[in-house]
Formats: sequence, structure tokens, C-alpha cells
Amino acid sequence: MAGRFDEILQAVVRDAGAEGAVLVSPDGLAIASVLPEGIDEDRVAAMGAAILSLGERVTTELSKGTLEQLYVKGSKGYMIFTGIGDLAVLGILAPSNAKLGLLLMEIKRAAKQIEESLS
Amino acid sequence: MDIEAKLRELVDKLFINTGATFSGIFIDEKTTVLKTVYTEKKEKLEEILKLIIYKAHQINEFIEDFGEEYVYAEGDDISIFIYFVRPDIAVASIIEEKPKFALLKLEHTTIAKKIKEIESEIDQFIKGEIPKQDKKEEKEDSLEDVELENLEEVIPELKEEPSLEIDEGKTEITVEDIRDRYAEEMQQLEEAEDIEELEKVLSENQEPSLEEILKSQEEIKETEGSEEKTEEKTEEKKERDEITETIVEKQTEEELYDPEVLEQIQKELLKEIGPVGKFLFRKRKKELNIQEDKLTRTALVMLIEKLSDDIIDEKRKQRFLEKVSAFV
Repeated sequence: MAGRFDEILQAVVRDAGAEGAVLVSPDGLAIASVLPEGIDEDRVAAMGAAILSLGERVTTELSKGTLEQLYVKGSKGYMIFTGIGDLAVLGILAPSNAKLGLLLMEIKRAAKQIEESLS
Repeated sequence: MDIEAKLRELVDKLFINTGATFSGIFIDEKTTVLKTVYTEKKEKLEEILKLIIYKAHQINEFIEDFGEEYVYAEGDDISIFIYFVRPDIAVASIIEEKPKFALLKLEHTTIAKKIKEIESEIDQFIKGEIPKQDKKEEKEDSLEDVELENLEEVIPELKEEPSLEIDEGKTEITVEDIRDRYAEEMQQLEEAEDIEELEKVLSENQEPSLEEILKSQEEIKETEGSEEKTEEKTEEKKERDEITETIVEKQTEEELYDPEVLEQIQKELLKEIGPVGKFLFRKRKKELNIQEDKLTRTALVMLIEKLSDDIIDEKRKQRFLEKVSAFV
């Protein structure tokens, strides 16, 4: 299964022009990752799970269902975290010149594939 | 205008322009200027947003000079937008409707530009060079007063109302106070009209002359006559009402709606105009004397009409009407 996840993450990076991808368990541990050298997968994983969980606390507090996605835009690019049900979080690193529409579409596709694999 | 007032004004603008249920300016880790419809959940939401801001800054620990600009999160009916004016100043909003990223980004960047213009004052404020307002003054500029101003935006007639006086023992004005006070005022107005009429007939300061006595006697007769007519009219009206009731009952026998439809209508209203919709829904329901056990099509249509008149924005009005027409 680990190989399957690596394939999916590599496809997202290749097809959407992302710089890296990480699949995170709900408790913030990395399941699989394709990240540039020098970036700590554990830190990315922990941060991704935490920030998405914080966003979900807002929706829970206001009884507004689930949060689908959260992203942080910086001068160096995007960090996009997508919830895959209660099963996992998909984190994507993308450069600032990435085509956001294409990226989000590929993320959705990858999330679906991961969900099928996990369930 | 002092710096806190300026920041509050900016938050107000953001709140209104985005249709947010929560807006705020977060300065360093201590100072916040907030506006929200959630007085009880305010602190919790503030805390969560502060943590999100903190987490966003943490990205710099594994991607050097990441330079966070904004955070955006969305669900089906909610979005969160946090814009970083600079690392220690962020502007944030929570919007409880279908996400509109472009609008949120535009409004937040606009406010951010205005914050940039008063950056030096904010720095002084952070350093403590500009003293904070007294707590007493803070209370006067409390969120409830700001909420009251928002209600005035939505309900134009309230703009002309005299200011509310806080009753002894109370420390805040609630929406129920506004509603109850409004009802009182209407009653007082009706009574005042009667009193004015009375004062015309009876003069208190002068002894009436013979002419005036005769005149008043005539007026009394006329009044009695008109009272009789009024009674006749009242009886006619009663008959008409009975007929209407019969028709309505007949209609009711044919078409009684489930009270649940009222909840659905209220829900759609809240989606378009936010939490103030609850107050308006109750008010219009009371005005039209809508009875849940005799919910006819006519009553529902009248209620929907009244509620749609309360929606100022044309697009939202149309959307509301489209959605509720399915229920009737």
C-alpha cells in the first residue's frame, strides 16, 4: 500500500507542477511523502494535521459541517492541506507560479484515489 | 479619532462588506479588535484563529522565508480568510455562506492597505505609547452597540428610533430588548394619538365659553354618531372577518401546511441576511399573527412577502424567493 501512495503523490507532483506532497494520518504522522530535499516530512505532516484540525474546530464550533481544504499562500508558494474524510490529510507544496485551478483539480483526483485505497 | 476607534471602524467595514459573522484585526499576540455576532463564542473563535495564525507562521521553520500572505479555508457553507498585513498584524474573517474567495481577498487586501496607512500609530500603540481607552469607555463602544448599528443597516425604520436606554441592573442591550422596546414604542404611539384627540375636545387651562360648550356638545354628538357608525363598521368588519375566517377555514381544511415549513423559511432567510433574520422572522410572524396549527398558503405567502421586503440586497432577495417558493 505504501507503494501505491507514493505513486499517487508522485503523479500529483508531476502532473500538477507541485514541488512536494505528503500524506498524513489524522494524528499528524507521515504515511508517505514526496518532498524536496531539506524539508522535514515529520514537521510538514504535524503542521498540516494541526492547521486543518484548527480550521475544523471553527466549523464544529459553528455547526457548519466539515472543512474541505485549507491553504496558506506565501511569497514562496502554496501549502495546501486537503482532508480525506476522517482518514488522512493530503498536503501539497506548490510554487507561487503554479496554476491553482489545475493543482486543485489534481489534488481532488489524488484525494479520491487515496480515499479508495484507505477504505 | 484614536487608534482603537480607527481599527474598530476598519473591522466594521470588513464585517459589513464581506457579510462575515466574525471579523477581527490581530496585532502581535495580545491585541485584538473584533466584531462578531457570537458574543458567547467570541473568545473561543478568537483563540482558534490566533492558533491558525501561529501555525501559519511556523511554516517558516521548515521553508525558510516562506513569507505567508494569507490563509484560506473552505467548507460547503463556510470560509475562513486570514490576511497578513505583516507578520505581527493579521486581518481575519469567518463567513458562513458559500465561499467567495475573490471577494474575501479583495476586501481583506483593501483593509490591509488602510491598516498600512496607520502602521506607525499601531506601532506606537503596541509599544504602549498611546494609552488604551478606559474600560468604561470600552463598554460604551461594546459589541452590542455595534450589533445594534448593524441591525439599523438591515432594518431602515430602526434608524429613526430614539436611542435605547439601558435599564437599571442591565449591562448590555440584546436583540430581545430592541424587539420589546420597538413593540412598546408602537403601543405608546397609538395611545398618544388618542390622547391628542381628547385634548382637542377638552381644554384644560381655560374655562369653556358657551360657544365652546355648545360646540363640544355637537362634537360629542358627532363623536357618538361616528361611534355608532364605527360600531356598525366594526360589526361589518366582524362579519367580513367571519366570512374570511370561514373561507380561510375552508382553505385551511383543504391546505394546511406543516409548521416545519416555517423553520425552512427561517433557515433560508438566515442564509441571506445572517442571524438578524431570526429577529425579523419572529417580528413578521407576530405582526401577521401566523398560527402554526392553522398554517395556510395565504399566510405563508404573506409572510414570505414581508420577509423578502426586509432583504435589501436584490440578488439575495431573489435567491430567497426562489428557494422558499418551493415550499409553498
